[in-house]
This record gives sequence, C-alpha cells and structure tokens, in this order.
Amino acid sequence: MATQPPDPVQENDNTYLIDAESATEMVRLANQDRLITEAMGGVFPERPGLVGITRILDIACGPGEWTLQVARAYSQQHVQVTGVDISRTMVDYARARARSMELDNATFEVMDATKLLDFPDGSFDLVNARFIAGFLSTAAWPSFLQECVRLVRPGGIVRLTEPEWGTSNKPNLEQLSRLILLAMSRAGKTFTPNGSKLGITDMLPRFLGQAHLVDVQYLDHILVFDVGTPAYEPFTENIRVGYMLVKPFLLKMGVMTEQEFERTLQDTQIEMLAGDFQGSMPIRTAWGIKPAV
Amino acid sequence: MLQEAHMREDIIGQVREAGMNRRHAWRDVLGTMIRDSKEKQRIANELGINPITLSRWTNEDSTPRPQNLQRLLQALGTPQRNELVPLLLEEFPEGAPLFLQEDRHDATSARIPPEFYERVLDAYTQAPDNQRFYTVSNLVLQQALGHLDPNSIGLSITIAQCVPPSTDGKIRSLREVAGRGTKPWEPVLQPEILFLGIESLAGFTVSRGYPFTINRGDTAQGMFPVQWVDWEQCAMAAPVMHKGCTAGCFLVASAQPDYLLSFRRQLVERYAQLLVLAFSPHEFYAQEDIMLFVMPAYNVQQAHPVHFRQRLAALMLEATQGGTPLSLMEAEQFVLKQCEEEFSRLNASEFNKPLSPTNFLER
Repeated sequence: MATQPPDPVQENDNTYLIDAESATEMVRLANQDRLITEAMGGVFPERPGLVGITRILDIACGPGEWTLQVARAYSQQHVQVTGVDISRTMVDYARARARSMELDNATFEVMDATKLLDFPDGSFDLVNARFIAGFLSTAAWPSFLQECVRLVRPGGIVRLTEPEWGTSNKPNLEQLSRLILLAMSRAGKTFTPNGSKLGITDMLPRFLGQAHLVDVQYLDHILVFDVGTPAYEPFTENIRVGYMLVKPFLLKMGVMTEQEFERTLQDTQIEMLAGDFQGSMPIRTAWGIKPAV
Repeated sequence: MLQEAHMREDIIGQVREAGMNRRHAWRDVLGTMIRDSKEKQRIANELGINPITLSRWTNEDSTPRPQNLQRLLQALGTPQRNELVPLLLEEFPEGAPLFLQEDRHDATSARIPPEFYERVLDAYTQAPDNQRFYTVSNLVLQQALGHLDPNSIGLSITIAQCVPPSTDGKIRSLREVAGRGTKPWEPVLQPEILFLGIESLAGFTVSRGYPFTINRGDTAQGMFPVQWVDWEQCAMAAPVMHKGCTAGCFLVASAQPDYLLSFRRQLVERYAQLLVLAFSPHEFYAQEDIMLFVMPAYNVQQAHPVHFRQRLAALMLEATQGGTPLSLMEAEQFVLKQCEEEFSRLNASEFNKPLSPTNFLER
C-alpha cells in the first residue's frame, strides 16, 4: 500500500469523519440510529420506566432520530427532550420532523458539543450522547464529560453509548475496517496506539468515574448483521453508503489511494453478498450519577 | 358543535322550502361535473369505482349507497359540495349524518411543508448520482410516513420501480425497492424479489398513468387488480411521472378501512411528485413502452427460489475478474431481468401476453 501519512494532526481536531452538512450522511445517520436503537432493545433499555426523569439533553443528536423516539415514547410522562448538534442541516431536519410528527416536547438547537453549551448549570435530569467518537478526539473526552456533569442536576444521570468497530468473516471488509481505524488513529480518535480498534467502549466507565460520577454501570449489546438476520439488508446498506461518504477522509489521511479504495469497496460489496456473510458490532452504554450536593 | 347544528338546520330548511320534486337535481349537477372526462376519471379514482358507475348514477341506472355519496362529497371542492348536499338530502334524507359531517381536515393538512421541498431540492442538487436515490427516497419516505400516519395507527408506504426493459424496450413489471411502515408493519420494509405486473395495484396504476384507490370492503373491488396482503384494509397507488413518462409508483396501504380520505390522497399524490427527484432521467419510460405482463401471485413467487444475492455476487465477481467491474446497481438490473423472465414463464402461456388496463378489465 503506497501511502504516506499526512502532516501530524492536531490532537484537538474534533472534525467529524464525514461532511456533517451532507444530506446523504443525514439520511444514513437517521437509518443507523434506528438500527442501533432496535439492536439495543429500545431508547432506554436499562431504565424503560424513566422514573424521575423529565428533562433530557441529547448531545450531538444528528438528525434527531433517537431524540424524537424518546419524545414520542415518553410524551405521556411529560418528558421534554432537547437535542443539540453542530450541523444546521441536521437541526433543521430534526425540527421539521418534530413538527410533522406533532411532537411539541422535542426541541433542537445548533450547538458545538466540543464547547460549552448554552444552558445553565443543572438544566437536565439526564444528559445523553451516542456515537460521538466519530468526531471527538481522545484528548477532548475529559472536558466533554466535565461539561456533561455541569449540565446535569445533582442526582441526575450522564449516559454515553459508543460502539467498537464492527467485525466480519470477510477479508476485504476487514481490510477496509483496519484502514479506517488507521485513519482515525492518525486523526487522534482511537484509544489504541496503532488503531487496532477504537477502544472507546473500555474507556467509558473510566471517563465517568474520572468525572466524579458515582454508581457507574454499563450494559453491553451487540448488533448482528449476518445474512438472514433482520439487520442484514439495512446495515450492509449503511456500510456501503458510509464507506462511500468516508472516502475523502481516508484519502486525506493517506491510508489508501483512490484506486485502492474503489477496488477494495468493490470487493467488499461482493463479499457482503455471500451466503455465508457474518458481521457484528458491539455497543456499550455506560452511565453514572452526579452526586447529590 | 352549535355552529354545525345551525348549519344542519339551515340546510334541512332549504330542503323543506324547496317544495318541489327535485329527485333528479343532484344527478343533473353531478352529470355536469363529470362532463369533463379528466374530472370524471379523477372522481372515479378517488371513490375507487369505474367511471361508468358515475354515468349510471346520473342516468338513474343505479342508485349509490349513502357511504359512496359521502366519499363523493369528500372528493369534491367546497363550492361543489355545498351545491350537492341539499340536493342529495332530497333523495337520501337518511344520509344527513354522513352528508353533513365536516371533513375536519382542512387544506393545510394536505400541504407538504415548504421547508421540506427545500430539503429535498438540496439533497437532489448535492448528492452524487450513486447516492441520489438513497438520499431522496429516504427523506421522502421518512417525511411521508410521519405526515400520513402521525398517530401510528398502521400504514405501509412503498416505492415500486419499473424493472428496466430488456431487448424489446418494453417494461414488463415493477418491483418494490424501498419502504417504511408503522405497526403492524415493520419500520423499514425489506424489499423482496417480487415482481408486480398488471395484476397488481402498482401495475394497474402505472399502466393507466393515474392514481387509484381501493378499499378491501368495497364490493366493486373484485373488478380491480389487487392482491390484499397481511393487514391491508385500503390502498392507493400514485404514479411517479415526469413529462408523461413513468419511473414507478408510490404505494400506500392502511390497516384502517377508509383511511385514505381525500386530503391524504392529495398528500400521496404530492409525495409521488416529489419522488420524481429520486430517479434519474433514464429511469422514466414512455406510457407506450409500459406493457406489463401478468406476474404470478405473491405466494407463487415467494415459493420459487431465485438465489438473487448469490447470482449478484457471482456476476460481480466474474465481471471484476474479467477486467470490467460492474457497479452493484448495474449488476442488480441484469440479474433482475433474468429473474423477471423466469417468473413470467411461471404463468401459463396465455398470461404472458402484455395487457393494457382496458383489455385486463374486459377479461
């Protein structure tokens, strides 16, 4: 593979792998969010009753799929959900969907998750963030957790959900995954020195503890997308579209040439059609409670 | 409520004060409305009846049920409705509760938010060719489902696309390529390898070039092609058309009888218009090139394994190894044509002749 690494990337580069204003990415994220929620068994599998929680913040909400599902599921309990995202495209879309679904308990604002958010201290009973490792650099996680703790009331919950990169039984798909992880490693987004995996799922309980949250717990899930499973068609489509969208990032990080990318993508598409294709993605949700004063 | 009661009294008063036999009056008024053949067709489509039936009503060859007259009123604009109601009450006083019921869904319910049009246009202009259908169709399906079924009482919405022609340049069938649903349907409908011919609602609609609505309980539905599946109680298909050419159709089915009221039908047609942007120009076909086969029933097709994915993989591998790689879309189209050919041969030979909607009804 004749590639050269790019110039050293700033450790605090919190740029998303994919163009955040892309309509295609917005659609892909909405579909992916739905798949993830289904694989996890619901929006709050660890606390379906959602007792004592009425004000929820969803950070980096994207097109708002999870946020809107929460708003709809708990509208009778007078739960108010706020979603924030850096992308104007995503926020506008989420707002429009809330209107068309007649959900007046879901609101959306444009805000940068890597900076202080425009809410007073203790504004929420629960602060949620899902799949933010795609933009948050490794160095930025502690300060991000500090901001989450500020925003949640004493006794409230900070809740994080992240995946490990998926695996499969196909060599070209595995090769493409390795190159994406290498690119993310060069961009300062993996917690393993050589980008062998994302490593974020192991870090979640530690980050919550380091942020002085108590009663830290976690729940693991797995999204299986083998041939014949309900997730096979939608998730392999998600992979195909996602890899096309991440191509500029891979080229920028110097992990492959355009020709190499096109050939590998073609080979992975053939592999995903095989009758014996197997794939899975582990997901972890971890949460902790802000001590009461 | 009080205003409605006063309106009801006023109208019934008009009827009593008339003091003359105006039995024929509503039929005359309806006859005037349907003198325009396109309007006649539109009204017939909205009611899910043959246009001939409207003529039979105006000629007194048959008498419509009050429920059908209610649907007729819902298919009309306000001025026409106001003219017809008192006249209908002359002959059908028992229909007062139906005829005087306000359609509580005003014009705004049938309007797609302007910002959504902007969003779709942005997606259309920004997305590369190989991502356009994915982006635009997903946006429209997402929006349409929430708009048509905000209370999740049971709806499926699907895009059916014309299967590309083979050597004779004719379209022989359609195939469902994307869909969404609310319970009892799955949130994302997995497209199966099922071909829709003239025997299907999608095929019938695309062949005619007009939207079509049908209810399961409708006694007339035996005349029209539909294969009711699962929880469907009513269904509508609206062709996706541009400059008189068709790419496919937008299919909507509800688990509730009579759910597709006039304002929802308007919405379905408007979303079908938006779906034009999901397709490339070469995916639209002239009406004269749409000559659909009769395809086997769904259960027959489902029982016939085609090993679609394996054939796709084998074709792509062969092409790649031969130095002329095929995109997934190109390979899909090739294998689809093969499968379509196989399914069309499953039927008896007499059904392999292409049919127009007219000679299908005459059968």
